[in-house]
Order: sequence, then structure tokens, then C-alpha cells
Amino acid sequence: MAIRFYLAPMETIVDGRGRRLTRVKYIGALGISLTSVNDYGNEPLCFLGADVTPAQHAALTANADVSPFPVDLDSTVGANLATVQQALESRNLPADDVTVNTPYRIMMRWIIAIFSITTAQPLFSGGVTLDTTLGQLTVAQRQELQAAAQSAGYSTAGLTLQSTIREALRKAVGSAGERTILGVVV
Amino acid sequence: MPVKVYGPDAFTVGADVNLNTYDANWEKVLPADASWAGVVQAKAATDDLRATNASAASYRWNGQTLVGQKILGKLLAGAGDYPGFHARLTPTPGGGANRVLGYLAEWQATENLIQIYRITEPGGVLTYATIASAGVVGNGSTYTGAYLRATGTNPVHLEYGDNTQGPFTFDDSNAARAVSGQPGVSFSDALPISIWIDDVEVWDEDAIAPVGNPWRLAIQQRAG
Repeated sequence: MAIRFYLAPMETIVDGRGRRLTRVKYIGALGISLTSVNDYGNEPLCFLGADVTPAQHAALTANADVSPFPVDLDSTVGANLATVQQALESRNLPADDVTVNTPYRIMMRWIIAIFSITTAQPLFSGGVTLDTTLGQLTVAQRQELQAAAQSAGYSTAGLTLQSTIREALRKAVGSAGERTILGVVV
Repeated sequence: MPVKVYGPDAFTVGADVNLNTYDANWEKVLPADASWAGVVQAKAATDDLRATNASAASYRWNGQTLVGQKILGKLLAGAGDYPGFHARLTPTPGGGANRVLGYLAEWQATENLIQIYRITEPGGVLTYATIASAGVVGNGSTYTGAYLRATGTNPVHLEYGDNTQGPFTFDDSNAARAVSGQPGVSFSDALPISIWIDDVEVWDEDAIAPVGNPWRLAIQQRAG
């Protein structure tokens, strides 16, 4: 068993008790029991930490919508830059700050920080992308994003209606801090 | 230094009594619709807390407003039934958009683990987000010292476990994290003779310990 980290999809179901439930896709069927899930608000995405066997890891990453982080979190993105950028951008996570010299551990902090800026309903629907401007969002969406950012302690200085969601989310990157997940310092 | 503010309550009663009648500091929460029609009683025959029908019910303890908080007790896990503890539980009016309802730790014998949920109400729909899981929970097993602890606000630091496993931790930095609310007990799909919770304690995790004898001695020595 080993603690591994992933970007993984979330799914919404109605469970056997009639409850609306959001959960990480795949892991229940694989019998993975020790998990830590940082969800991206109501987007169908999470940062997953899990204690897995090699077989569970292989089965989990066999799914195209699961992206694993390497065992060595201090290794840098290096030659995987294009792949990493594509993996982030396709999940509505700005990859602007990722370079060949970015350690995965730092990138994980950025992702968790960005995940704290969310809205009650999925933001990236109806044609909304990272490059949609704040002025194109509804007033309620803007207020929710601002409240979430301020609650997390991130600056919103300099953001205007012409700023993009990408620019707003990147405000979190500079404030991302260390934390411990399943005993691993990230 | 944490200070115990309630319990341990063995729920010793002469006749079955609803929990909120047994002690007015316990308040039933969550909408009173069909899925949450259960009533929790202190039971005379067993001196513990049990639900009265196959449904669900949550009660929060309102004896003192708490931010940093821990609730613990002894519970029986059973397949198909779900005993658990809440932290930072707030009642919902049953329609308020995105109202944070708090955290729930369930000892799930069917799934064979302890599951942590963040309960919110986006768009007026009660939603359970699975945010952490750990441990092993057996059908018919009793767990003493089962607990859920919530401290801090950004992130919210959750700790959970029991006398046989843990502590397990999770830091919640989601925008919907629960920063206020009270500890509570939860029964879900409980049959009258199935799961139970007993010996409940509530702790104030932000309490400032009273000045003790060492200080008094030092002051006396200085005065002398």
C-alpha cells in the first residue's frame, strides 16, 4: 500500500438511502478505503489522495479521466510540460504558472488553493471557460467567486469585469500553502 | 485546552423519552420530510439512544455555542444502518440556497469504513459530498471513543476515529466548508432494535483552561 495522489472525476448519484451524493468515481468499486478528497466546488473534479495497492493504482489510472501524480512529488514537470498543461486546462484549471521547473508538490498546492474558489452551482457550463470574463458571469456568480476568494484569504485586488476567470483563479496560486494529506506533506 | 461541556451521558431513563424532551439542549434538525421522519429516543430498556423507526434523524446539542468542538461516544455499527456524529451542524430551512449544513461522520458497516461527508444545500438540494474515508467498521461491532472533532475555519481541520483506529484527519478548504454550527448525533435507516449511540460527551476545543494551582502558588510565593 502507498499514498498516491490523483486528479479524478466526481460523480453525483442518489444513494440507497435516497440522498444526493457526490463521490469520487471508480474508487468504491476498487475497494479503496483510505481517501482524502479535495473537491472543486460543484465541478465534477477533485484532488484525491488515497492509500492504494499497485493493482488498485493500475486500475484507477486505466481510466482516461484519472491523472496520477508521480511518487516523487519533488520531481519537476520537465518533459511532461505539454501533457501536464493539457491535463490541467482540460479540467478548467489554469496552467499558466506551470513550467518545466515546477515541482509536482508545488503544483498540487496550487490546485488545492484554486479549488477553494468555487460557486454553488457548476461554473463551467453553458459555454463558460477559463477565458470567460467576470463581466460575462451573472452577478450572483461573481459575488460567490469573490466571497469564496476572500473567505480563503486571497486578494481580489486588480480584478475588474474585464478580468478572466483564469486571472481570478490564478490569484490563489500565489497564496497556496503547505498542508498535510494522509500524512504526506504537500 | 479542551474542556468537556456535556456528558458522559449514559441516558439512564425510567421510560422511553424523545431526546429533545430528555434534555432540551438537544434539538432535532434537518427538514421534517418523509426521509427525516425518525425520532431519537433515550430508551429505558437499554439506557442508550436509538431511532424509533426505519428512517433518519439528526439532533444537535445546543447547550453552549461552540466553534472548536468534539463529540464522542460509544456506538454500535450495523449493516444497512448508519450511526454517526455531526460537527458544525446548522439547521436548514429546507430551501435556502447553498446553506452549509456541516459535517457528518458515519460508521458504515455495509461499506466497511468510516465515511466523512460535508453536507450542503446547493440550489436547495440537500447534498452529501464524500470528502474522506478511513478505517474498518464491522457489522455488529461496538466502537468506544468514536469521535468527530472540528477546529479552525480556514481550513477547517477535521479529526475522527475511535479507540481502535485513527486519529484520521482532513483539512477542508472548500468554499462550502462549515465554519460554525453545533455538534450532533445522527441515525440513518435505523431500525428500533438495531444501532445505538451511548455515553455521549461534547468538548469545547477552544476553551481556555482555568488558572490552576501552580499559578496560585507562584502568586502566593511572590506575595510572601
